[in-house]
Amino acid sequence: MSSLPTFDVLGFTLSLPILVISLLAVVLIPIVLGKLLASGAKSGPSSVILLAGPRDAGKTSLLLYLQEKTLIPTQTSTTPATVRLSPSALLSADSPDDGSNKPFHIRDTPGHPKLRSTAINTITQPTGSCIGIIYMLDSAVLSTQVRLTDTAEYLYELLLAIQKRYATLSESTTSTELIPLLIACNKNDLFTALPPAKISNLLQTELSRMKETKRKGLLNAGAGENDDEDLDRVLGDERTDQITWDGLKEFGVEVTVQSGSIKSSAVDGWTSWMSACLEA
Amino acid sequence: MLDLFEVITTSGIVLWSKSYAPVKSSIINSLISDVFIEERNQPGSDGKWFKKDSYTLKWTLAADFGLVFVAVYQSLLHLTWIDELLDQVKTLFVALYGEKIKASTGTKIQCHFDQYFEARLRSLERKAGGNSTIRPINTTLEDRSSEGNGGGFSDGDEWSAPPPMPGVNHPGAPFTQQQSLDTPYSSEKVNPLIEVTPSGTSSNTVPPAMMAQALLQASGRRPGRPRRSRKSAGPSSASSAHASSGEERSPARLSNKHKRGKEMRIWGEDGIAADASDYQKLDYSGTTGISTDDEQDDTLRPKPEAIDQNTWGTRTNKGDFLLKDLDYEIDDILKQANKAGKNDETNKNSGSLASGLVGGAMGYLRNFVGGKMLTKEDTEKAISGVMTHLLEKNVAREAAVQICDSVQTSLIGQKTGSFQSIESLVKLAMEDALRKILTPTTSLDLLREISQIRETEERPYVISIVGVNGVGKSTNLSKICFFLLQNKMKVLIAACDTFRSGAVEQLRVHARNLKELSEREGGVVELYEKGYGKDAANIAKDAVSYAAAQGFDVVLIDTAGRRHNDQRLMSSLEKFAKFANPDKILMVGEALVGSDSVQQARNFNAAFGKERKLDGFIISKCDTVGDMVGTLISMVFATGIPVVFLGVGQNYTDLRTLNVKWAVGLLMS
Repeated sequence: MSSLPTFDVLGFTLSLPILVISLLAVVLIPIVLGKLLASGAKSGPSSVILLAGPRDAGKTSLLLYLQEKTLIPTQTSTTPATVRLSPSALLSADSPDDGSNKPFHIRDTPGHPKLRSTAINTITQPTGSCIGIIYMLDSAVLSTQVRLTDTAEYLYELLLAIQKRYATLSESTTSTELIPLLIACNKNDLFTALPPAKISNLLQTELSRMKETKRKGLLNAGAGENDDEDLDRVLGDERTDQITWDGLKEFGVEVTVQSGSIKSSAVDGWTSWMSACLEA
Repeated sequence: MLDLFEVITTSGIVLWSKSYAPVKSSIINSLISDVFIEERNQPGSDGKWFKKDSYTLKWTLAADFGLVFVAVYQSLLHLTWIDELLDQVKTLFVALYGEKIKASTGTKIQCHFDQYFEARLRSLERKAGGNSTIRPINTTLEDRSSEGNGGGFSDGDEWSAPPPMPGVNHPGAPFTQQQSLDTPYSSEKVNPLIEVTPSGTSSNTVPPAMMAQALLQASGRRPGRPRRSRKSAGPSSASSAHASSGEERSPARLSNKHKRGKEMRIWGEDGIAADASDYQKLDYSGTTGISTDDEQDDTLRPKPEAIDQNTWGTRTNKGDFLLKDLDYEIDDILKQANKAGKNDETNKNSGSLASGLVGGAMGYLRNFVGGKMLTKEDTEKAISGVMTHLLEKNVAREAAVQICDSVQTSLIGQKTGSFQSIESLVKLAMEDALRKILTPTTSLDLLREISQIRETEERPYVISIVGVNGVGKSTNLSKICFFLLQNKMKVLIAACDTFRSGAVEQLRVHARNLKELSEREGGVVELYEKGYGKDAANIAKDAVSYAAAQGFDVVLIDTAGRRHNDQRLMSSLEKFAKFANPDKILMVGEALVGSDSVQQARNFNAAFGKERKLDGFIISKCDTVGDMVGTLISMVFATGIPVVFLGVGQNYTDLRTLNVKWAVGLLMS
């Protein structure tokens, strides 16, 4: 016993083990307690594919389809849902499992205009690792101007958010990868559905027009007070109003347009895109 | 009667649904987006119901599980038991599947809830009493089973095979088998009743409650029976095609023989009752009279035995037997839930000292560390703090109270994050709520809309501006005009304030200034005036047709200021909206106005008749209030109409679009 070194702390004589143990206790107990009490809080998922898009496009349906492989009825979402899937969920039933079993997450966000900030926030938070974004739209309603405007406007906001994220990320780190964006044109089984090439064109024109009117439009209230607000006002190249998918590559987005239909189980294009995302 | 019942998660998944008649899913969608997201209650509903098309929707929420229970029925019917049904179904569903839902984090779970629901529905209908409720329900049951088998909610085999019922003492499938094997499976609860039914003896184990229920059922079903048979004689041709598939589910469509079997079962119940006490029961069932009861007893009792065995063999009546024991299960669950609720309360009031202390200490710790489950009492203080804050920011009291209420209900049942105080959580929730209120649901890009209208319809785009006196209608109109002129548009200003002296002259000065300012830019502006005293609606109409003839891009119509609670002045707006038919009606409201803002917005919104509403607000004089921009919230909250522009100064250039982030920041600062 006497061989152990002792310390004299404030008049108390303590042996080393006691000191160490008590120090450990002091450090560990709050941590353990905090962990226990805040067990509800989840740590941020590792690799997330974000599911965004206007209302009634089929976001939640796709999520459930990937999970359950059947069509399940849904209603308008009011809260986001994050679901953990294994990559085998992307494979069709008959193809073999390739063995890479690192799970990934799909985050489904509500499409109601008032709740779009959830999707935007997911993108702009650079801490979360967002490996891909699926922008789901209803290809059967784009022939009406109102719905096209709505669809394009959300896409515009989303692209702006991606651009902002890209800008902040490329400032902090040297190499930044492009974020793949899949424009998934759902419901192509319907008679009124537009072909993907047409949708691609429509969206690009609409985005360009939107950029033009945004440039010509009034300033935001409070603009100029905090600088980062101004920074992300313009989508894409500042010299031209034209927005093309190729042009957006410079700003951190790689756009793919693919049509499909959850109802008729034609989602292979999308799932292979997701697999590609996971491998990248 | 009840057309549709759905259990939905907040993330949009339909966990369980039962439809008795086809209802478009857009009905529930509009409930979700109108009431839950945009928080616009229909006038007079007080947040309790929602009417759409010819349906009334009622709902209840289980916030901590993220569940919404919605019942849809025809508005014509007055169903008093819907609230009770919602509550009971909620308790049941949460008790049965709550854990599963929590574990699955908002994804699809398997739930076989049909029979529980049916049982509850029936018992409530029985309680509601009247024959009128019983008859149509039986017919809707027929509808249901014929539809449900085809393309209903989930895969078809759920119907034929008895579904496993998780979280329940005795699942359905083993139950029937064990009945036939005659094993004492569920000892006191179910077996006595069923065993008694055929034998009609030894009813001493039957608790009085059960007796009462048997009684109730007997009296409840009796009057319904003849009607049902009449009914089934009517539409039987239509439903007969489904008879084979629907048989096992719907007692209403049993063939004659089976129906007799059902009666017998009820008689068997009567038998219990008779043994226990009195002749009343027999009197009840055998309408022929008391005198024959001895013979009838002898002749009738063997019969139920035989038929019951028969139904066991064919499994057709399984649903009914299950129903029996389900009723007890359900009652148990409901009772337990009640008890739990009461226990909670008593624990709160008078827990044992030690556990109270520990609980208190943990609670106290959780206040700091986080992970505390919030109750109404916890949030009370923080909410009232935020409310005062909102009031200080010039939010109208009515709006502030309602917003705080909805924030509070959204918080109950939530857990605080690690090292998060209740105050900060409430503040975050409030920020979210304000952002949600201010975020527009439609595109507010004026320039794009104008160019679209010009391209597709080749007519001028008409904007009219309304508002209370002196809020800055003409000034803001000139600002908008300047903005449009900068974009090289051809604008016609229509002076439709034919009432206040100097109004036309004022616009003339504006038009002259704007013309000078915009000559270089390439815009063209013209004033359309017809002097004073004429009818404003007619002038507006003339101005629009003039603009169409002259190829103007935009017509801006200035109107006379009017007090929003003066019916005489407000009534002329309806005619105005009809004559001028503006693409956008914008209302100007001052940021200075206090509690009156809510009423102003509502009255103006209602003034244009049934089909027409306001399209947006211009909030003027924002530069005069600093960060007290509460009027924004009050007006948008009262009507759900977005703010299109903000006036922030005296110059033509001092017009801004709303930045939601900025406004929320100001309000929460």
